Amino acid sequence: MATNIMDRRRINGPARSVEPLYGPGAAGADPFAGGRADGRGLDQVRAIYMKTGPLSGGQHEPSESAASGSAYYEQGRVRVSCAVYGPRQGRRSNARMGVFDCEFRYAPFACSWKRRSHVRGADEKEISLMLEHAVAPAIRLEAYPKACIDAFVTVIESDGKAATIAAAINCISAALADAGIEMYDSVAACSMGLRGAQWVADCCQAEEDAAPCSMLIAHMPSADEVTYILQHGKATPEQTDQAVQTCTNMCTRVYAVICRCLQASLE
Amino acid sequence: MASLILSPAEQDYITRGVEKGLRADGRGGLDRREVSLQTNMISQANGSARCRTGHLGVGTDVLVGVKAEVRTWTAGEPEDRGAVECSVECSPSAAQKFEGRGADDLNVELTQLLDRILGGPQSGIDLGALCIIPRQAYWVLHVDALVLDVKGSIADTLVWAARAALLSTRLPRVVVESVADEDGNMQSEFDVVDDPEDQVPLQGAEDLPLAVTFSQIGKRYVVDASEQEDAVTQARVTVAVSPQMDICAIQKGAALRGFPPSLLTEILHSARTVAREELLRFKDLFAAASAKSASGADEPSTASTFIGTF
Amino acid sequence: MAATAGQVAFAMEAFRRIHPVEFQRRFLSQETRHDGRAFGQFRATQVVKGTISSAQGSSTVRIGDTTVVCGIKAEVCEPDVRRPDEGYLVTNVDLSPMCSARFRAGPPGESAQVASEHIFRLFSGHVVDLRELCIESGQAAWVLSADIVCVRHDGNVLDAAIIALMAALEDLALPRATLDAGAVTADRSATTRLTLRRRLAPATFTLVDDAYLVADADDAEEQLATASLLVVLDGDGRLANVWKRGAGAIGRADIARCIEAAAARISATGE
Repeated sequence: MATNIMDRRRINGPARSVEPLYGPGAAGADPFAGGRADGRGLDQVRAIYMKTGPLSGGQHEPSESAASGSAYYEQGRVRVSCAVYGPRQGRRSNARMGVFDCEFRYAPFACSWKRRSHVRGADEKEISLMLEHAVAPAIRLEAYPKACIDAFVTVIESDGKAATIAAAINCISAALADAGIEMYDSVAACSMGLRGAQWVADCCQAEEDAAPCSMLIAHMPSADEVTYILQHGKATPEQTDQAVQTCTNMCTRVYAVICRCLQASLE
Repeated sequence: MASLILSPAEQDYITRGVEKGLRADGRGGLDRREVSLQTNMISQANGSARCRTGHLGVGTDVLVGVKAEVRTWTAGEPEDRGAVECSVECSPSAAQKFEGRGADDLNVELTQLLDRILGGPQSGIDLGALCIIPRQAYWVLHVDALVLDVKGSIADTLVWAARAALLSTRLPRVVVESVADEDGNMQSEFDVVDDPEDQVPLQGAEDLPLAVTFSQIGKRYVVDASEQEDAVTQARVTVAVSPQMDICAIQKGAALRGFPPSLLTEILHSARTVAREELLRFKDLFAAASAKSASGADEPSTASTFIGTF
Repeated sequence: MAATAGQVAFAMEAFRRIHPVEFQRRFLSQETRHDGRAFGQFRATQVVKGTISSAQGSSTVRIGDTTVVCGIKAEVCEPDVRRPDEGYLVTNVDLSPMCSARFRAGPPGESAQVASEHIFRLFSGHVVDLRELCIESGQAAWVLSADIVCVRHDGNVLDAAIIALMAALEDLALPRATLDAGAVTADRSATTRLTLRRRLAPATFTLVDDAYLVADADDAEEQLATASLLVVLDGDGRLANVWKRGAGAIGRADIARCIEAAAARISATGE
């Protein structure tokens, strides 16, 4: 029941609006009852579709204001689009290393619950930081002194928060490659949710809501480095160990898909 | 977070030292600096603590206050649970880089870290016990932290202080009674007992986790990195471990590089070893601090004590 | 020594970057456009409905490389006391730095504000009957928040936004709602579609370099625009809205020709 902030630069609706109460539906039901709703195996990631350059290249030569690189990434119902600008002049002119900045946003209609306000939320700021932390280790920032590289990510549709962040990481990584930014390796990310004593790959929203713990890992397979790890919720040490291993392996599989897409975009 | 500028020779000295298991201040790789703890020094808060990590008065200093508030339930919120809300702010006086908006990113990162550790069932706090009347009213615990000084290892000190503050928190007792309204329907009403002697501690606060931050330097890692070590840190990860040795949260911090997976697994194992010692140390320090604050022996000669004597 | 095809392409690319105005003029003075279209030719338009399942109505529209996504979220609010039988339609256009380097992050810039406002005036009340959004007079009504996010900006975003909003409104499935005990309950299994009063079809013409009137300008051409004319027709080919922007002068005869071209385009796309 958030109050919409009046903003003269936008068309404003009523001061207060709420989601209607939806009658007894799938809510409360166990999303795992009788296997996964979409028939996936426990370790199966949703189908990935990725395309680089939808925002920069096109039917004819790009205009001046087009992004240096871009990517569109789809994993099941998670849809993310990213544009990368740079390397361009940085804000700090004496920096020894380049700066990687990321801005993450949800489209107002991206989440299945309430409409998001236009005002940038705390969670969007946090995810922006997480994305910077996850992707920056892959970029050769020392090759871009005094410069900055900006990534703008918009979530067109979200289905599972951890999965959306993972998708954003994959999308940025591909957009950076499309922009021709020097990188050590592509970052591939994958998420999992805990179900009883078992880890379930790439949870959708309903599954994530029912899971007491989620794990997100971003990995550079060729360099063999975990660039980001996030565990939300409680798990035993054995479960965590297992999650790190399984998730890293899954990242390698996602990585293969990303690489294939990147190769296809060159042909 | 590298604010300190070190020469390549200094960087090399620290890195190679860590790889050989030696640190500039003589600690071992998994040793923490001295910690001092003080509790219940904010009389207006329901619970408070101040934690300082470092030698001889120089170190990271975090002040945490817990304020409980009764909130009316609104549609869409969980029906039978209370909530914990965290906020961390780095004081501009703590470091020069925090001036203006310089601390924004760090504030967001630390707030989310604290939220990740305390904001849900993983914290161990019995959120169900914070519900006063289902679908009507519940307690919200505002955990507000102020970082007063930064000399490396903010996250660990922050969680120490937050744990101590929540353990020292006392909630007013609430009396719930059923009253019939005009139509004869039974309605629940509650009353907050306004007696400072009649207060209850938080349920499940003993199960709160402690956080251990590992910094990868060279090919090895250390806990509780000093300011100099922070400046050469390649990757940093914070692991929260509960007294039952469950892992409550893992979050990687700002860094230039990533961890090799084998090192990460090793770190997760070390986390439990370190946390076990830390929890014992916390217990002793907290007991001492509570005893002090209860006897009032630690009261500094502030204006209020002077007024008291007059 | 003959230049290879690669060298020619490189020289052309350099020319385009260094003298963008002159580059466009060379084409326009030859009665053609830099992407090979004739002056009156529109780019291919693609409309896909129901692309987003988290919204009650949605669509994705591509005009050439310009891509916009429109999502409509339906929520419940208390109606305005002055109009107790009406709901709300709120339309916002979002032009973020993701779609073009010209836009800044943060609150909407001028062009986004202008587009939002114009679309709001076109649709609210005229296309959607706001009384149809009433759930219980004076107590509860639907508020339709239509957000049009530009994913890629390559000119003529306004046309794309209008087409996208129209398609999303057609796609909108409003759950049947009832008010009891102060709360609105909705049933996802029983949905209704809005009866749209008319079906708007837009066409934008741009005066480039103060001399050449072209249809459906792309980003490079828009940079040289001195005026533009938006013609919106309804399903019966009647004029719903004409909006001329910019200081450049467009002849009266040209305006009539533009309206004809807009009508021809609509019948050509079978709408």
